Amino acid sequence: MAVDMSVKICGVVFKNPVIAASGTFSFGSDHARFIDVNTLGGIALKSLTPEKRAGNSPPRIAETASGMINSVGLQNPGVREFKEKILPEVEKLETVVIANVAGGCIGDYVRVIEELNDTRIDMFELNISCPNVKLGGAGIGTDADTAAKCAQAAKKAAKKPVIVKLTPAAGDIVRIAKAVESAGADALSLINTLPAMAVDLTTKRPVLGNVSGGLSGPCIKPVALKMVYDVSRAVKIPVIGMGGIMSGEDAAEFMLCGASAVMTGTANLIDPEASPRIIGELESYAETAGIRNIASLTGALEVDVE
Amino acid sequence: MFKRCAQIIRNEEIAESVCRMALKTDAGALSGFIPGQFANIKVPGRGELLLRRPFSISRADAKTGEFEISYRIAGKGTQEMSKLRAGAKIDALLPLGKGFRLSDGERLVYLVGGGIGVAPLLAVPGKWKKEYRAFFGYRNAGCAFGADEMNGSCGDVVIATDDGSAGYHGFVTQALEERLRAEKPDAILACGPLPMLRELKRLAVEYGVPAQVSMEQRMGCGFGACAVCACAVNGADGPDYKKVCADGPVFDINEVIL
Repeated sequence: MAVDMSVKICGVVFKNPVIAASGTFSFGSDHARFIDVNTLGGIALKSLTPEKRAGNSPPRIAETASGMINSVGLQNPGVREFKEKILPEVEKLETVVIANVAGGCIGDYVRVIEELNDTRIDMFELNISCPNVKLGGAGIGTDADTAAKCAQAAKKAAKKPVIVKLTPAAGDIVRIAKAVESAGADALSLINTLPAMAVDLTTKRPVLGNVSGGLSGPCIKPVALKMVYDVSRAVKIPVIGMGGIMSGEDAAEFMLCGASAVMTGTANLIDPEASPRIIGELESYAETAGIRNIASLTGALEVDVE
Repeated sequence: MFKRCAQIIRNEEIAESVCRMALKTDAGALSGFIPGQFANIKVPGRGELLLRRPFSISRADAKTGEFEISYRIAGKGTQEMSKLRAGAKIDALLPLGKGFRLSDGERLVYLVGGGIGVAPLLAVPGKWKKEYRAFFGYRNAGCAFGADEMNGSCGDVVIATDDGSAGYHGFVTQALEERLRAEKPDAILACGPLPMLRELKRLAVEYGVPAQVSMEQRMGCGFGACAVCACAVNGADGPDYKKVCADGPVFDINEVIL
């Protein structure tokens, strides 16, 4: 029995629920040397800001037990150079393309969205949760009022659905989720990386040039599952779940906890073939479990206690 | 570039804390190999060692698919790697990055390596027929590796050690400068620690020799997607970052900010 792997979020049809997370897949062309990127349900592009950003001082990565910390710092060519040099290649993609938008102030988000409104970009994802930028980023994502204002301004500017990416660094992620939902967000994605650091005992210095960064990988999966579970029960808009997904089974767990789709991140760095493999494993799981329609997994977790 | 399964043929310590791993993969995988390129290797069996480790390729045989990496035991990952035995299989992405560039124009080429930085230079004479001189620096005689492998292909192999336990007593760049006063090569290819590269940059400018350096940085993916392996460069509009894995690891020495 073939499984219908497609899912629909805010009217956008994904051929399957596995999307490459922003920052782990660049603009698609690097992975394209290893895989057919069009087999993915979608691709969230590397964060774009109004102006070019050089990013943080290296080293920008530290390995931790079953995880990694990065501090790239939103390195990107700026939205105009993206449009000129990279967008023509992105236009050729035959999968859902999500532009991840970042900035230091709300106006930055609006500027990037306005630049990309009339392109083939299918959806916007607001990165209000980057732990690697001092002003803005997580500063917007940890305050409910500011997050809501950002979502509202973005929604007003955008001609495409707006996803808001939430940070686990918020004291109460459910509160932020509800605030951006009320402000008009079409969907939520969570979780971004957790603020973290690593120390080099030999040099008695932080491993990262930026001192701290964002933790990702299998070690954060249990934390992410709980947040996806809590948020998806508190809001009516779709939730895209992520955090340490390395296998199709991991993806299924996120969907059971309420995710309409999932994003793969760290897995894409370790193995360029990870996302297609995860899609295959998710389909196999569904076949074995007798699930005809993958979308039916969303929120199907059986819980005895309220 | 490919994702390939590679089987270990040999894995042995060749100097103090330096190992050589010989592997065999598909014959086609290394057909486009250029010295300076690297393999990004997943250490098998240990879940908490999540990331791949990048190692420059010291030797590659495109016909047989055999290749070698030389690595220094520096952390948990390389410690685990050093325990792997012949027959074990690992997963490797290769060949990655942009290697050294030589054309017909260069006749005399100097290879300048410091410590484990000698590793990528060992592959150079097999690719381009040139007159070579090697200048390899190590902490001490016990750490020295690779020099004997270059005896057949290099007209001269100069070893320098910090403590004078073998060869020239001093830094490899000091031995190099003594030679540069008498003879000017057409190109210098180098890899080594930052202080060595900084001094090399001074020499390259002072003696007017074009130099290429293979840079090192902690990597994520190794194939350009994650932007973590930043290398500071002189950009068109001031300082900028390039990716060591995809824009390098080999750069013109004038481009990188050392």
